[in-house]
Amino acid sequence: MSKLVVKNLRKSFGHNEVCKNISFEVQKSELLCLIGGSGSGKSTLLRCLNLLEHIDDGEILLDGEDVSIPGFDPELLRRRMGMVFQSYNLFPHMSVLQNLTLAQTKIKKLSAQTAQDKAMALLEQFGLEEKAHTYPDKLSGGQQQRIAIARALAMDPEILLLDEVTSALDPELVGEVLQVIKSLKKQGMTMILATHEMGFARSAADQVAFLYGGELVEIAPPEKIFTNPENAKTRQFLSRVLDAN
Amino acid sequence: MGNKDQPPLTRRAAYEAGLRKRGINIALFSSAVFFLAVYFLIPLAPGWPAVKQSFFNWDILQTSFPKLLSAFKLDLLLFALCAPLILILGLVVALMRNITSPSLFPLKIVAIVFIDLFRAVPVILTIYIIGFGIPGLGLFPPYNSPYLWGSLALILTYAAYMAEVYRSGIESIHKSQVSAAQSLGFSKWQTLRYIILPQTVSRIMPTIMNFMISLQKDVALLSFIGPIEVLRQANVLKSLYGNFTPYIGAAILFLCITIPATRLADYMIAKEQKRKDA
Repeated sequence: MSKLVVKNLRKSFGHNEVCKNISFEVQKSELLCLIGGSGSGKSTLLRCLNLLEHIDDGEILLDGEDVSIPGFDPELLRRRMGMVFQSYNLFPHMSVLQNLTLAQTKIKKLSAQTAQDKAMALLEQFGLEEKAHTYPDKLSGGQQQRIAIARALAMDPEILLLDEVTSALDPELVGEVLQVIKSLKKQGMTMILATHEMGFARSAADQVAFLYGGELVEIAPPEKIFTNPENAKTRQFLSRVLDAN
Repeated sequence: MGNKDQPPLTRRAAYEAGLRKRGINIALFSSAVFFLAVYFLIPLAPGWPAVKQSFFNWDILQTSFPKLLSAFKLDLLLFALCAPLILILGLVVALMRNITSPSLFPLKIVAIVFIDLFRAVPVILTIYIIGFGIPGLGLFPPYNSPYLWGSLALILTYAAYMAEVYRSGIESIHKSQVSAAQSLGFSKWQTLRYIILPQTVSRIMPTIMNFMISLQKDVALLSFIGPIEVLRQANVLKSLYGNFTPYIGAAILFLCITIPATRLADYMIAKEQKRKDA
């Protein structure tokens, strides 16, 4: 059974249809990369999957269970599905360690010690253990983003949604965040990543989905998308993006 | 500064240092001229000897000051009682105002009416209406005390303002913080409690300080309905001595509290600004 199935998902803001009848599936431990220009609907799609946006129509099945039916408690879904944002969104009034432990103690009701052990283990894994008592505004963008990923992982999500997590970073900091995503993939984490990093999508993704104007135009393994795309729009987009590099 | 190891000033730095020095000299000179003029010109006014006698009488200040000081303790006590209640009630009203759930909609209406009403009516009228009106219902001591109902009037008025301060503070927190909290599984209430409110409070602290300074002075308005606090005491002493100096004494007492508090508020505003710019 697929880990995540999205069927005919629709989302509009007023008259502007941002997700047009989107369907796809993600298998366990897969990395799906969403590519497409700005405004193509990548971020909205991810926000819909996490039920941060109210969807207009369609189904979202997690392990076969419909989590999009009206009345489903979004908090139950979000405990199983972590999300990381373009602008990190760390809590500025808390230390790094508190950022990582708050949800564990308040939502999972873990003891302070257990939560802290888990947080320190994650920080160590990302080489950030000496930053545990620092506040977010004293950290580089790359460090903040890695901590945001650690914060999501501290909740033991089954799926991680990553919304353009490297787009706000200086070029020399992009690598450290992509490295983290690669290591998570090795550990078997199921992930959906909206990205502009074509090189990374090509080398690391299991599937790549191209979105254009709110439509999912094409979804295929990266070799196929990048060398022999079926749709003219995909070809056009890729030739423009890849030429620019 | 003045360190011998430091490199010599560049031409630009030397020029700018010269400009700064010149500015300081001009400020010192113009201030000296202004204050000397005030010092020498005011006593030239025809009524000055009379004003000096009836407002700045040292003997009367000395004899009245202990009584004023002990009356001022009541001002401080009323302030200490009102301030925490205002902060709590203001927050409660702000949260009621932000309610979105349909079943709790009546609470939202209550909050809106409350805020509109108590911000619209002059505080002194509220004090008269509640302070005289409610004891007039024939309540028994101590529930007919003007201290109690006068304080309530102040609390309600200030809480209405404070509610709007909280609300604008809450709205100033970026929506991405809400998204981040919700994506971790926090409920609406938990998001408010752990993520939004702590950031709001540190952001609105300077405004809260300003309201507290204002409240500290407005406590004196309660004198109009009975409590012998410092303003009423000064009134009594004024009539007793036929001299206005007790008012100056009362003003000095307020200054002793409000000026340090104002400086503290300024310091906190500067700190918050610095944090924002960082």
